[in-house]
Amino acid sequence: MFQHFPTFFVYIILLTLAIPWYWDSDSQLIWFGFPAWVVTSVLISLIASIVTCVIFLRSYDNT
Amino acid sequence: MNNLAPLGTGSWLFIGCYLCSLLLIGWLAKKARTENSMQDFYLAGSGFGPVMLFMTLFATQYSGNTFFAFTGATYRIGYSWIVCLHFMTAIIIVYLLFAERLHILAKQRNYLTPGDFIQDRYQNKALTVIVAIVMIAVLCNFLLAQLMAMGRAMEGLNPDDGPAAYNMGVVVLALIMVVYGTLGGMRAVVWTDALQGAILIVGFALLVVSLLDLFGPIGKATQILMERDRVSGTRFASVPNAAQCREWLSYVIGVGFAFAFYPQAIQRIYAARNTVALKRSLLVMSFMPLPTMIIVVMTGVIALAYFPGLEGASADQIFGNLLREVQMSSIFGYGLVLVILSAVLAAMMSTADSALLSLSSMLTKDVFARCFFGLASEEQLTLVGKIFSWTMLLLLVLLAIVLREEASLVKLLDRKLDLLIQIAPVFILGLRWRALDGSAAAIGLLTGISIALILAYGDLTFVHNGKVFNFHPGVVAVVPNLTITILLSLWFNRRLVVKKNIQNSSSINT
Repeated sequence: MFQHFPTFFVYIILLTLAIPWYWDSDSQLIWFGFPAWVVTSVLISLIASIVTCVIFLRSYDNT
Repeated sequence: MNNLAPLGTGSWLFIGCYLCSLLLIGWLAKKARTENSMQDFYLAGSGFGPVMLFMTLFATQYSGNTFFAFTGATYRIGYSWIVCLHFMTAIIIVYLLFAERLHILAKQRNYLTPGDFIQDRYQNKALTVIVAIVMIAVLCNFLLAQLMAMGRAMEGLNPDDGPAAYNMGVVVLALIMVVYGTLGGMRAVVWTDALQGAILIVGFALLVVSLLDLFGPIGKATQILMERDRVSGTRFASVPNAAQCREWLSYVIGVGFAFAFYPQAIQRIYAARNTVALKRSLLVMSFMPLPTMIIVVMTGVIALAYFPGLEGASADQIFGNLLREVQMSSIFGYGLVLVILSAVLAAMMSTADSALLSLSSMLTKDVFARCFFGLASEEQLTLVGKIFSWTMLLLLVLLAIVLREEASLVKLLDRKLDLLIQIAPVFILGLRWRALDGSAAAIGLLTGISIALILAYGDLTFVHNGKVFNFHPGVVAVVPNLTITILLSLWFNRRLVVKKNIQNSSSINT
């Protein structure tokens, strides 16, 4: 299922973005009732789920 | 679940009926058995389709205990526990690395336990037994956490009885669990998983709606936490600092590579009817962390904002405070809490019975049959497995009673991670790198386990809160484990090639 090397880099980039190291530590921004860094992190997780879903769907052809 | 309003006779009757329905499912699963073999008892014969497989994977990975422990963790550290969303997603991503290949092999070679793959791939009994022992230790830890959570749940429902309610909860719920598990094996476990998984996710979604209705929008709770951060210097809603970011990285890598190798999860990969069923169930599973973990974090954040002050193991009980508010709000709230309580109790049992089933299959097949009685018949081994189930459960029930106030549920989770991640190279590399040597893997594995345990329990100056620069001991220890496994494999293979060349040249000379 995990055949393509570029996929590995996609996950590394998503992991790098999911961890909120790049946010200003004093940020008080609130989006949709949550701290903005939490919303960003959740969105990255959603993208990771979609990428995983696409890999599973594409691998049906190989079954 | 302390502080819940007392339940009436009708409520107890409802919970009792719900729990008894699990026994009925166990009996129906026994009727559905096609043969008296280990394959049928532990893997439900020809296996499960995508829907049942998804439900059982969901119920195995997201137990009632997850909701308690993760709500408690959010309560302790605030929004930073949103990391749970990433590490639960990471587990599914790690499945991409090995699940399909392992499933195909399992179907071809009739694997029953994780040890079957190890023995078949490496032909190395020592490695198989080491992996089995590590997995058995992890399962005991897992089962203990579930039993303790069951006890705490019952203690919360009967706050006046305290320890007596805890003990009674552990004993009675464990008894119901082992009875239906013994009757129906994997089939009973999966059927109860499906029922409980569905009720749990719907119940919790309704709970969050009720909580938002009671306490107002989540933004209000966020503002309360931000204000608290400003005044008292806490970091409940603040951007995680460098140390917390390192801990996030450790959790994502550690949980992803460790919890994908839960023996009960591996056995569900074996139990998929075919590859398509496996992929479809994993496809849906890849989206499940989003609703479940967001619900858990929101629940924890509301609790933290409106019920501050609990610490240690009692923070795991914060969930009960919230349930009380919903319970007291309306008749709908009372009914909802009743359904959630039943589902939480049953979900803990379903997660525990999966672990118990795996535990007994590994003790029977990987230790008993492989080391002592290889010639025993299928019927004899199935019977031995059931005896192991009862004996191990008895021992763990006693331990759960003794350790009542000892450990936080998340601490138990960390130790499982430290051990289980050491097994990842044996499976992932073993399926992808033909040259990986069994003896090299065994040495690497033992080194990894030793380092992880020394770091976790060695009282070393550079280890703070059980972590090395915020990394779990298991994550640190897997690096030497992997390095030794790869280098020794290369060396052993080189020696083998040289030896073959010498033999070839000497046979040509003669």
